[in-house]
Amino acid sequence: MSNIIELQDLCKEFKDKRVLDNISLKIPVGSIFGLIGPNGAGKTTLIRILLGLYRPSSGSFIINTQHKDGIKKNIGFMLHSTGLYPALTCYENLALYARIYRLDKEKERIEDLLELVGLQEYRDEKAQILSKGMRQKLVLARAILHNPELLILDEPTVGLEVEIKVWFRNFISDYVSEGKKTVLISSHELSELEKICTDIAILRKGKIVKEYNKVDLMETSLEELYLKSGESDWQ
Amino acid sequence: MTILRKELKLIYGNKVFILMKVFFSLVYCAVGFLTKVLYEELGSDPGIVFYFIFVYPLSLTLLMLNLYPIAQEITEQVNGGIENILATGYSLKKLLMAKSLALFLPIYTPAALMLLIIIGWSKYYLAGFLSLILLLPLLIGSIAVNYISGILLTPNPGLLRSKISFSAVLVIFVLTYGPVLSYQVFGYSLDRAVSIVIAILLSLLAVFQAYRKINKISIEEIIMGAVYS
Repeated sequence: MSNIIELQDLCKEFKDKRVLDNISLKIPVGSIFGLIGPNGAGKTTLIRILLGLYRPSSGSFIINTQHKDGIKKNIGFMLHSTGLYPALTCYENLALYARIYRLDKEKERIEDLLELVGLQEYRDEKAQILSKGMRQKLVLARAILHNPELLILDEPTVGLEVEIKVWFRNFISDYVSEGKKTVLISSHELSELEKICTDIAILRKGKIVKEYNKVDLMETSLEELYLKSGESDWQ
Repeated sequence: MTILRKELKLIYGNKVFILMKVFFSLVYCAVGFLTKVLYEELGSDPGIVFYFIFVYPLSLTLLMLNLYPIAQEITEQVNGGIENILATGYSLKKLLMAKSLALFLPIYTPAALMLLIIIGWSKYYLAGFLSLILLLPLLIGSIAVNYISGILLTPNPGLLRSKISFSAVLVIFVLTYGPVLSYQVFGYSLDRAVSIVIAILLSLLAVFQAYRKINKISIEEIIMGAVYS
């Protein structure tokens, strides 16, 4: 199986603090790859590097979907910060990105997506009136607006209601099963990840301490594996 | 164009901004017409006209920039608007230029209106249009770039606003009382040509500063700015 992301000895330092320490990782095409770790482990920093927001201090990475014109047309993302414009409507928030991605048939695509995430009736409402769950759905719609091959999600379900979390989980599973899609998802929600991920990596203090695949996850619960990986931290 | 359209939509969707713009436009028009009264009162001294053509628009621009609402830019940083747009691969320079242009247009228009009024009655076409199409756009454009770069980087927009406020007061003081002091202390009043040269130098200085900012600013710095805000 080919890899969509390959990281080789990736390091990131801020001033004197090493936030990522020799990360080497391969993410296969068609996988749902979970990245778990405590706060401050370096998950968001790693995601920001993959999205080109930070430069690695050393090491290298390859994303095999990079588009030639610089706009990352094959990568969708959800970051911690929604980046929604409260004064713009749901439609306008999506239209802004549709223009950045230079989508053809912008209107049709946006209408379809609003229906897909159940926000059709809020089409002309300003984003500021949406609940947190609705906002996250709108951000997810924005992330898949250009039908990317790789979806990078940074804690997409944190603080959401159970129903929305289940909806997200099903949505991501369906998205990957549709075709050659890959999802990299960072989260604290072990039970959520356990249900959908095909591969998991545990990140602690900037290092990948363990990697597991679907078979490992079937044998032992993720919670157990996660706690085991950090035993030395609290002993 | 995508970002510029979004910025203008956000700016003009702000009622406070519209009110401020109308207010400033009226003040600028009033200044334009008052210059004529001053001109007649002071015995048709062309220095007055040159002063209002070259000095006043610059100082008022700084003051106006400080008074415009900056809520949209702050919200953008806090909500991660910038981070999300840059994560698409959208060029940082294009983003800076679009945001600066969105700030430039509403500030330039009232100042240009005032100049047009002055040019209209004074008939100083060469000097007036030099200021209108060269000096004023250069200066306001550079200030807009500096301002936007600052807003994107700063963890404390309030502090930036205070700095701009201080600069505005300083510039207005120097430009307003500078020639008077120079005359009282040295017995030397600025020649028209010298005033124009100083205005050009000031504009070029601002352009240089903006150019440095654009080349120096990095995506990582902006994201870090958001992290610490």
